Amino acid sequence: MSTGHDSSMTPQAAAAEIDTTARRVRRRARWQGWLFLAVAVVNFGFYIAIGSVSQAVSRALSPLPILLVVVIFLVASRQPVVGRDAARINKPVVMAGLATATAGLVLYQTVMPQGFTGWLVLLAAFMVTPFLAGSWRWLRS
Amino acid sequence: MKTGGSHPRYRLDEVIHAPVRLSIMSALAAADRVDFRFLRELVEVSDSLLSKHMTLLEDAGYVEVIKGYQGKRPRTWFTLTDAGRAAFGAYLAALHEIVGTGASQA
Repeated sequence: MSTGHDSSMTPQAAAAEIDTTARRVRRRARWQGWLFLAVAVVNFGFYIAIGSVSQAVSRALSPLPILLVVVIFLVASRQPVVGRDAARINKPVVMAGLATATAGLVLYQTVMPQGFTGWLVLLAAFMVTPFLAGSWRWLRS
Repeated sequence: MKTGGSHPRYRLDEVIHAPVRLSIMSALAAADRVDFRFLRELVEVSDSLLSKHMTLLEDAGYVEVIKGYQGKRPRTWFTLTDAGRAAFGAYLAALHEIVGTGASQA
């Protein structure tokens, strides 16, 4: 622990401190990217999986990805660092993710052929696109 | 004798150019907001010392304190104000002039 004495520092030391601290904070803020990636992978796997079970079970399980998004959003609020531009990035990603999940759910329950088909894979990919985009945005920084 | 004022070192904001406050400002500039506990561990200072520096930065108009709850637990967040980001940007610019390249934009 520091003793609290605020002695001055050289400009070089200040520059090094800025870089080191910023790097540590940015690394701690990358949880947002991993979280979006986890949502994308889980949702994609979920929709592929429900294509291979009975119609009744599929329909009963189909709202779960939306619930997953809500739960993860709540978990995210407990993190100690919120990355820069989070307000600009996260809300559109989550809203787009909810929109594609809802649209996918409606499509699946109305016009989609039941069972495991190529359409199901395409639909699942469409539904997770916002989260993949959000993940890429955070993890590339 | 040459008088001070034109050298970039005179533009180094003394509120920022102190070890603990520089670390705090660097951390806050790299994020949207940071919570008290994380910041304390990052900067490696005691609760009271961090509070003292945060008060100074808040009085300078550089930092905003956001108090809230996580469940029933009180939680304190810090974020840079627009003035704080501008001051840190000016500080970085002066620092770049002094050291040449070096510190990247946080």
